[in-house]
Formats: sequence, C-alpha cells, structure tokens
Amino acid sequence: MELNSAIWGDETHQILQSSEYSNHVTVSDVIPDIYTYYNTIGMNESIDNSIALWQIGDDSWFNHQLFLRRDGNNVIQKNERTTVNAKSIWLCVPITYNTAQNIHFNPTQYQCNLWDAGSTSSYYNQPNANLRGIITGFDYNRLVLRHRLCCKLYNSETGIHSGNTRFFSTYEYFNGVDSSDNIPYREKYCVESLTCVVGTSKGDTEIFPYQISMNIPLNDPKNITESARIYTNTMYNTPSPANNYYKSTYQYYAQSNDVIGLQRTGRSSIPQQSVFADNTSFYIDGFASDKWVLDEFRDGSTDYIATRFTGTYDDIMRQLAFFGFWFVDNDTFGNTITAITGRNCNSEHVCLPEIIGGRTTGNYKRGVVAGADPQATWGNNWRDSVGYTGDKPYKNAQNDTGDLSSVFNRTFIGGSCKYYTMIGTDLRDLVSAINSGYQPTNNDQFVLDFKGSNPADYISSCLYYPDGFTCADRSTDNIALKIGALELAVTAHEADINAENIVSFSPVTIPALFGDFRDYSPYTSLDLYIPFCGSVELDPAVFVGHTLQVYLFIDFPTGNCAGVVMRDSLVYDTVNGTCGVSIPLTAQNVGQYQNAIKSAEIALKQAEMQRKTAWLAAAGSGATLIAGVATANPLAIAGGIGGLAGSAINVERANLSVESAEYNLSHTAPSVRSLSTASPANALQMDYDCHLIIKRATMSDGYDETIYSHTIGNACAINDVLSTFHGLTVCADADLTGIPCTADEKQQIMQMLKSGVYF
Amino acid sequence: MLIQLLRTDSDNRNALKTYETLKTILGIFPTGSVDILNPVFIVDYDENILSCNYLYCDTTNRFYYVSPPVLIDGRRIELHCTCDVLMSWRANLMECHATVARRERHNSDTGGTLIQDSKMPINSKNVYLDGVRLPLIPNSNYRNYFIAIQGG
Repeated sequence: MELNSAIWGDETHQILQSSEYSNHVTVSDVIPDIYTYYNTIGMNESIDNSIALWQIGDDSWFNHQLFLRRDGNNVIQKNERTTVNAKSIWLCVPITYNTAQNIHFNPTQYQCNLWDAGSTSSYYNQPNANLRGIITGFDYNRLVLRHRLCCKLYNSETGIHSGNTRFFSTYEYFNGVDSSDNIPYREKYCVESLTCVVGTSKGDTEIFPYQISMNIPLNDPKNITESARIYTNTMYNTPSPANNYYKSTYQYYAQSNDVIGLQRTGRSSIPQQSVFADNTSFYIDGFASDKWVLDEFRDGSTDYIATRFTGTYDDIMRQLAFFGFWFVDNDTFGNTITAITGRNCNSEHVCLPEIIGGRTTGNYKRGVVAGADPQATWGNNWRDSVGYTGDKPYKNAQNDTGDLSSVFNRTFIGGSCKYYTMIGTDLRDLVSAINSGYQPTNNDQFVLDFKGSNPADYISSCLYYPDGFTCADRSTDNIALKIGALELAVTAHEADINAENIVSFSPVTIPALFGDFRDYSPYTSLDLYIPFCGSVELDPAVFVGHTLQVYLFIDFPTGNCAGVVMRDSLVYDTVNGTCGVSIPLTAQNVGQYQNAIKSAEIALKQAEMQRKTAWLAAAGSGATLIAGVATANPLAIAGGIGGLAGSAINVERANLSVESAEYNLSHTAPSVRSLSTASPANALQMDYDCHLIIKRATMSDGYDETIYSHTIGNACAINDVLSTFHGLTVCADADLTGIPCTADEKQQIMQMLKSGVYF
Repeated sequence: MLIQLLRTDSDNRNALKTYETLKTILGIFPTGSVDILNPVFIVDYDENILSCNYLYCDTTNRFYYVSPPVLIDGRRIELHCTCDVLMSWRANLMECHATVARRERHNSDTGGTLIQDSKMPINSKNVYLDGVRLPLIPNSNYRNYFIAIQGG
C-alpha cells in the first residue's frame, strides 16, 4: 500500500534497526511461560526507512511489536504486573523501537538531565547507560520512545520484590554490562508496553505503575473526584536467555521516561538509591507533552521515576492521543486486548489517534468510526516472519486459483488401520509367514496371538496398484508387520495416504481447427478416456482453446479412484473408477478351528460336570446313588447297572468324555487363511495414459473455403460501419442515413446490400 | 457537362470498380428532358468507344452502366445508361452502419465466427478423428501392493 503521506507524513530516513540486530526479540529468547514476544522481522532484516514504520494498521511494525502474552489460545496484551482488580488505561499498541540511527546519541554522554555525570553509582556511571539525547518537539515523524531499564529481584512464586534495583540499558543501544550483578542485557530491542496508569493522587507509594493501584475506571469520569494521573511505564520481559536463573527471578521494568519533548521535572533531591541525580528542572514541552512531568516514587526501598501527567479525563485522553497509538479507556480492554491493535476497534472504548502529516493532533476517534478510518487500515507490505498470530489474511474463498492444494483439500479420516506398501516379494513373504511360517506352540498360543480372531481378518484390504498409480511411502523404513499380537518378520513401508497422491497426466491445449462454429458441438466432439475410469464426454465449448488436464485421485484403502477433469485451473468434471485390484484371499476357515476349540471346551466342561455328578452320586446311599446316578448322569446306560458298579461305570464314562474332549482339543489343527496373489485384472493391461478423441466435421468434396467465403460469405452477426468490411458483404439490414441520393437509388442500394456487395 | 466513357470488367456488385478510360467528352448538354438515373447520351461516332460499358458524368456525379452502344444516323452513337448506385454513392455508403449477416473472412478477422452457417457444406457422413494422448506423469513409487492391517 502506498504511504498516505497526508496521514503519516513524508518518509523519514530513520532506520529503526541497528546494523547487527533485528529490532525485536525472537521468540526463542523469551521464557515461554512468562511472555511471548512476537516478532515481525527476521534477524538482520532491515526496516525500510519510511514513515510507514510508525503507522498503526493491523500489519504495522508497531502493532507487531505489541507486548503480548499467550493466554491459552488467545494472545492478550497484559501487564503482568497488575493485580486482578487493577484498572488502567492501556495503549493498544505498545511499540518499542530503537533509537534511530540518525538521531544522535553520544555513547559517552549521559542522558541529559537525568543522569548526573558526576554520580558515583556504578550503575549509571556506565558510559552508555541510558544514553539518549533529548528531542524536543513531539514530532510523530521522529517519535522516539526511550526507555530506561530498571529491574528488581522478583520472586515469581511469592510475588515479592526485593533487593536492590538494577538499572540496565539495552544492549542494542549501549555497550557495557552491569558487571556487578552480571545480569546480561537484552540482546535486542525490547518489546515495551507503553502503559498508562490512571490512579488517584494518593501519594507516591500508591501509584507505582507496576503495582497499579488505580481503582477508579477512567471511563467513568464522574467517579474521579480528584485529578487523575497517568504514567508511562515500560516493562521488559526477561533479559537475554543466557542466564536462566535471572530469567526466572528477575523481572525487568523498563521505564519510559522520555517522550518526545519530555523533560524532567525539577527535583531538589534524589533519594540515595535513586538512579537519577537531579540538577535542573525541566518541563516537558513540545508538540504534545507539555504537561508531562517526571515523577518519582518509591516502592519499598526502591525509587522509580516515571513520567506523569495529571489532568481530567478529557485531558488524559488527549494526551494519550498525542502518543499516536491506539488506546482504550476501559479496564476490560486494558486487560484483555486481544491480538493486534484495532481488532476491537468497533468498541467505543477503543480510540484511534488522529495523525496528520506525521504529527499527532491530540484528537481521536472511537469505535467503528475509528475502524473505518483510512489511518486504521493502512498496512505495510511485509509480513511477520516469526510468531505473529494475528488473523492471517484469508484467501478469498471465491477465487479458485487452480492450485491443487486449495482446490482439492485432502483429508484423512483416520481409522484403526495402518497402511503399508509392499513389493511383490514382500507380499509373498507375508503369505508364507501366515501359511506356513506361523507355528504356534500350542492351541492356546494361537488364541493368544490372534485373540480368537481369524488372522486374515486383521488384513482389511490388500490391493494391487500398477506402476505410476502407487501410493507414496511415508518413509522408506522397513517396518515389521504385526498381525494381531503376532509380529512377523515380514517388512513393509508405511504408506502415506495423506500425501498428495494425485496421479497427473500431461496437460494438453485443445486447438480450434476451423476457427469457427465447426470447432464446437455438434460438429466437434471430445471424448476423454481416463484410465480405470472410462470415458467422459467433454463439451467443446468449454475446452476448445483451453487447457485440458486430468488428475486421478486414488483412495488406496478401497481401490476406488476419481478422475478429475480440469479446464485450465477449474474443476470441470469428475468420473469414478476403480484403480486398485483386490488381492483375493483364499483360505481355510480358521473359524472352524475356533469353533473346534469352543466345542472342545464345552465338551470338557460337560465332561467335568458329569464326573463330578457321578462322584457325588456315588457318595450317596446305594439306592439313592443308583437312582441319582441313573437320573443325573447322561451317560447312564440303559437299564442301569445298579449300585456302585453303575456309578463307577458312569464315572468312567465321564472320564472318557473328558479325555475325548482333550483328545479333540489336541488334535484339532489350527488353520490359517492363506494368501495368494491374483493375476492382474484386465484393466491393468490397458493403457495408463489418458486419451482424448477429437471428432471433427469434414467438408464436402469440392469445398474451397476461400471461394466459399468470397462467393457465399461466412455467416456472422456483426454490427459495424461498412468500411470495416472487405470483400463480399451481405447485410441483414443497414441504415443508409447520410447518402444524399434519390429514393430509388436508396432502394437499389438496400437491395444490393442484402444480396451482397463487394467492398 | 463532361462525360467519361469507361470500360470496366468489375462485378456489378463491386462497390469499388476498376475501369479504364476510353474517352472523355466535353461539351455535352441536354437536348431535352433528362432522366438522371437513366440518361441517354448521344456522341459522335468513334470506333474506340464501341466497347464502352461504363460511364461517368460529372454533372450528375454518378457512374452509369452503359448498354451496348446504338449506332444511329448522323454518324452518332447513343449510349443508354443505368445508374450504378454502389459506385456513385460509395463514399457515403461506407460510413453507414449495418448488420452484416455474411462476410468474406480474412485471416485478420476476429469475432463473429461462431454463428452456425447452414450454407456450409458439411459432410454428414465422414468425420475426422484426432487422437491426443495425455501421458501419465508417473511417480517414483514402485511398490505395487497396498495393504491395510487393523491395529497394525
């Protein structure tokens, strides 16, 4: 998109990137469980030096530098330091940037007015600590958000800050490390959260930004009985990943103490542990920030300095607008601004600052009005390379690009099967393994291996595909096949049926032979033969002069296929067919074995029952025994034997039954299904290419196209001036206006035109 | 009045005829009533103009077909003329708009070619067959057997 200079001003020559590093943190530098940064530009990728850097559209660099946090599947902007009930004004586009190279800063010079060159503190004696010049005049074109990194030991488990404050500067800007604690700098520019906090003026200790004490929502001005205050504050995430300890224990709070034109307020003294030595008083001036002051406050034993603005609701909103970022006045949005700025711009709480010619005016728009503003819609040309999880530009579903991956969405409905590809020898090995290679040690082993099922039932399908129509392999690893619980020595490759198993045929452009109606139906017909599918008739009006391409989609588990006919990049027709040849499984029915087992088991139980009964019966009285035996024992011999003798016989017979059952069990040979390969089906013998038969009309003998055209003329229906025609011209009608001839002549002319004239 | 005695071999339907000039005669003037569309010119005998079949008159600004000359007394020739409306009004005619139902096609012509032409002698018995092969673009897999195993 072209830069709208009316909004963003002219291009600047600022370069927001150092020569060595990209201007933001890569995701890998960040502890995943705390924050996640989103990069927009890859390493060493320079940003073009246009004002576009500053724009606020969805794809702006600024927007991508949002201080984001992953919350489940959402990305939210959140100040981790706030409490649950914290209410604050959040700027939707907390962008950091780095010092533009054309803005001078002297590495040997402390930041004016904020650092005392004579300070003895080791922290800010670092020659490059927080080095920035002060720029006066709030010029959006040269918006510089500076920050000073201060940190304090933070126990993430207890939530307690303790220890001394450490102040560091970003490595990008400065050289040097705070060697006293050996806390490494951030390697790159930090993603900052420009957070404005509104709080009541109850004293310094209450209004430390990161502790957020505001409890009066700004969007309800009537609740603000006192002057509200907003602070700027920036927060850093953890430093360089080199030191995990520090990453987990330190949280760094960068403070933006320098907005364009910001100057420090006068302070007569700085507490001992303050990082600043105050010498003179300054006031923020410039285009937008004449009311911002530096403010100090202490948290425990630590002093912090932030810039502070005091004013009414309208004043505060105006000041926020001067920053040039999206901003909200609603605490809900303040805590849960989803994704990139502007996503919720339909809300009346979301405000878009007015920018004219690269300068903010302090005015702003809300809600849907803001969302419709051209300023909100401008986008940069480049896209994120890492981490951007904003809404991806969606492809216009109306446009069929012809890209197969978009036209044909292949999905895989998973099942309980695994799929393999095999060569012929593999399959024969499988057959052999099952037919003769498998030798269970006993019947129980067989049942154990196959869980009582027919081993062949584990094989859902076995199909043959001819060369060129085979399934791709997921990998070339040889995987041992498992039939049930039985692992065979036979190997195969795992098939990749999710792959783009699309069989392609070379495209062909169908030419027009006559260049007229004879190239179309009914004078020309197109018949397309697709292997395994058969023939399909094509409409010449669709294909003549266009490219015909055929694809074959194969459903490998079933052997079915679908031929897809495409004209240029559009799917025109489909035809179904069968490509795979099922390999028939001829086998003995192992179920018989199962049944034999079952029967034997039943018989055994019966025999045991009989034996028990017989013994029980024998233990009773003689008479009863006999009677009992005679009654209960199915093996009772007719006529009975009587007495114990009969019982003994019955028992004997019961034992025989058991033995018989055992005999049956041991002599029932396990059967397996055997596999055999079938000879290829006839379809496999046919040509594997597609064939297009073009049937065209012919002309009668003696026909000469030139003479015909000259004497009879070719049919047409053209409306034009007669000067465009050459040779024989036969008119259906004409408008003879403009010929100053007699009526008789006009009549003659018309008659001649209708019968044909030569021009 | 000037007339040009011409000879043309162009088709009568030709709006741009070619001709050769046989004789230009000046000093023609009407001797009686004149039918502008079908005038009769009387000229002196000249055997060179006996093949005249076309005529142009500047006064009427028209071209005329000339019937075979009639030799009359006085060593004169009568030229009976019929107006050629196409040639006479060609310039104006070319600027007229028309709906053309048939035309003589040239290679450079585009459009208007898909109208079915019922006069075109298409052979109803013979057809021309053209076979076009779309070769298979084979993949590099040569594992022909596909097997699905439950559980696996």
